[in-house]
Amino acid sequence: MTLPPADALGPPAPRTHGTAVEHTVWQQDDVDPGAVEQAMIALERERSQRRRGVLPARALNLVVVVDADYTGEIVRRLDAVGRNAPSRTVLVRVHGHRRGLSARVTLSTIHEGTPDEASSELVTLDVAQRHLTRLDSIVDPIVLTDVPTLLWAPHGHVDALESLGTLGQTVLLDTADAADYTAGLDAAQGLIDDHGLSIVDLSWLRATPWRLRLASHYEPPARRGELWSIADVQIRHQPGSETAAWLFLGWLADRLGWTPEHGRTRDASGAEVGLRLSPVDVGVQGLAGATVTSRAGAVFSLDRNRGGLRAGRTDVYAAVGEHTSTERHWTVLGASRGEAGVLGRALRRTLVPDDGYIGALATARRLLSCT
Amino acid sequence: MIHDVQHDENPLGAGLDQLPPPSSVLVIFGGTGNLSKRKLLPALYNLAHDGALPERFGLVGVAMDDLDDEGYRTLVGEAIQKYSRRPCDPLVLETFLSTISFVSGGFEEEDAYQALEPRLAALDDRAGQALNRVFYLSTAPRFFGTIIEQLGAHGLSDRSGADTRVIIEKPFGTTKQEALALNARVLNVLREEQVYRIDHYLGKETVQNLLALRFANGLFEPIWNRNHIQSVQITAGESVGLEGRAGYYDTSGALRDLVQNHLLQLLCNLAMEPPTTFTADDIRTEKVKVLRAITPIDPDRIEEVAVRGRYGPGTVGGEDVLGYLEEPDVPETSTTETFVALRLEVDTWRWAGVPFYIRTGKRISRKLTEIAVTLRPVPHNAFDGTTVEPNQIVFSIQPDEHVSIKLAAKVPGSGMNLRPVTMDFSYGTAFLSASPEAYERLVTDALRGDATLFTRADEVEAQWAVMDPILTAWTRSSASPDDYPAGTSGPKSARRILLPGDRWRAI
Repeated sequence: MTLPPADALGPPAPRTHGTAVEHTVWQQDDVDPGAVEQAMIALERERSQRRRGVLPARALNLVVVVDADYTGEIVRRLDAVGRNAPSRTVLVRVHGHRRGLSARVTLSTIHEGTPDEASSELVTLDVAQRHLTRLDSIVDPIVLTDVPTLLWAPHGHVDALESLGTLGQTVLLDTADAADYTAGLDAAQGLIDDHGLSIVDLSWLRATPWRLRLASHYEPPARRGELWSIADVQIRHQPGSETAAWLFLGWLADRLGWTPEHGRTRDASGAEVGLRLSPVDVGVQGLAGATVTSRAGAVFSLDRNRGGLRAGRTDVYAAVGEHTSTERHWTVLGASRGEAGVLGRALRRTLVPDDGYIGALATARRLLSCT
Repeated sequence: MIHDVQHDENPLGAGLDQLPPPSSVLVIFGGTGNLSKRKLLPALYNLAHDGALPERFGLVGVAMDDLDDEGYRTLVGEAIQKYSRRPCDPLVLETFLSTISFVSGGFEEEDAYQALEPRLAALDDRAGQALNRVFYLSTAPRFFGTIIEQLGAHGLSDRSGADTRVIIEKPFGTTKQEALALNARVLNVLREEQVYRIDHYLGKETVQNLLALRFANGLFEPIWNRNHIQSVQITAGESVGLEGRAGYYDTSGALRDLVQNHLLQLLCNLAMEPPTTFTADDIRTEKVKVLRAITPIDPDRIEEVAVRGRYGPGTVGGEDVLGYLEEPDVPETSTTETFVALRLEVDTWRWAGVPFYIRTGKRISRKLTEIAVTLRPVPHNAFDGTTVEPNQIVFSIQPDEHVSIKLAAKVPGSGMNLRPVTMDFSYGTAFLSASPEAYERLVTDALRGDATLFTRADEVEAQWAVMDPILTAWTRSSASPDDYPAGTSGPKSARRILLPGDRWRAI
């Protein structure tokens, strides 16, 4: 085995008490992928000799392809996911013109005061635009084998995704990033249909707590019947988060068997279901609220609020010559996870695939095509 | 895509992570106690933070303290800030605290239950539905029977339109006779499916993972028997002493405190046959079979299979510490054991002849809970001049959750020298999320009505049936427990119960 140059091994940072992170770094210009792999093995051995309790994390590879000039924003987002970080991140920085490859490997050891310490690895590769169509030959020797690989090209390097398609099983994307929401949803469908890839969509995941709470509200047997008599659904969303709203509607329609036709949506019994989207600026990406009304007049609503989701429920009681209703409001507890939490959830989703997305995406596109 | 569903189904739940539990109110008897402050209330806050509490949720504390709702909210807020596993989100904490109320009263007094009834009814009214009710008995064990009888007497033990459950903390009795009597009192008021006897070890991921590793991997099950396994060692050590719990501990001792419940549960998970399904009753039935197959200990031959010890003065973590008898509030005449070592046998086709060693102690050198399965040595050592150690599979439960397999490997070089190496799987590194606290899992399961990780009546009685002969022998004996210096791995006499060829693992 060829050891990396001695001077390339940076000295480890001193240990501190409590949670602390120790970095060990190697870097080299004009390097080939095999040398990067060898350097990582050498770094790992060097660390295991110093710290026998360190167990290298072996759960997930993340390959991120970014424009070199905009690397910082992506790195900050990844830093914020904390202990949900992938085991090995390969950050591919794309330069317009560049002769060879440069690589930097950072081994991070996380000390949390327990005998066993976790670790993660970041490999930063500087490549030229021309490398993208054969990126698989560069990245393949560097990713961990036998663990899932998630691909993310937040700056739109589709050629890189196509090259890496056989290497990674799942693509992370945000359909809200597209120029318009129809194009975002179409692009996601294209990756599924044309490249056989699974999708982890941040716009879909931003609405996960909403889906859980809506499903939970209709879980009691006494309420389940309402699901089959929904007359109207209003979705409120942050401006720019239309795809989250359409995916949410797509999910509802898919699960409940609604069909769009001639500009209208009908439920399984043929009754029309009104669907409305409206932008509401709440300062947070994703959904801002949802209201579901049954044909009998029962209303359930959820709205973003302090300390959780503000829920509302109106029940209507009709008797001969009399019509009364009760209205209740309460808070469904739950912390806002922020964008870092959504990204963390996306990383975990790679390990536990979500089979609801495909149906929601397809139905959302059908709903859109009818409006 | 139109899914083939019945109109009494909820198709929205498909594909989602587990839905939050049904709308419920949780009543904690002993809501100001140590367990509540350190474990239960932080667990509930963390569930709230994760959006895992029911849609409509109320928490009522019941205790003898002279507090009003506001005073209790302050106490709860402080406990959560101090003991939560994650920093508090002030907005979530504020909203969580707003769900809390308090009833002041003694557990034996009618007044407390009379005051509780309208509180619960008001929560139902506010929610516009009959909320499920879960009563958590986090009190001294002497109140368990009384509280349940009072709940029954006040019409709080059951009702139509919503579920009522009772979670009972440990210890469930201190002998088989007491456990039988308590079960009789409990089941005179409640049905067994309403009763959730808690053993928080069962909420730990590694304990649950034992079943996953055994029954979802073809690698292990073929060797999980007397033909391949030489011995099993279950160790639960603590470096701490009494921590102000002398009153409880001196009447309990290590056997009742840890072996009867936690360590026998670990043994059951390790030794049980595959259940037909992973439902609560099938799993618990298999565990009861293991407990009933444990060879009864003959009190007259107790010295051959059991050792009890008591820590003396010593050094832990570089600090001098007191011996047990010098600890505050421990009677001078105490014969309570702080260390237990046992050799049990599970008399079944699968396990006949395999010793199951159990060891637990306070003030030993480190905090550690693990199960070590030692395989039989290879039948022939072809490597002259070198020792081949048997393989071991170690399930570590505390302080870190991991599994390691000890293998023999060749030391690099020209000679054929062998050395043990380990292959490790750690929960901290193999998944992208931390394990939830055991109490978070268990409280959620009880709110959801899943009793898989709780102990059934016949199970707890079978546990005591294993312990009773040991307690009888020790009560009869005039000998004191064997001394060991604090900060060591226990009394040297623990070696006497080992079968030839076996040795205790280093702690």
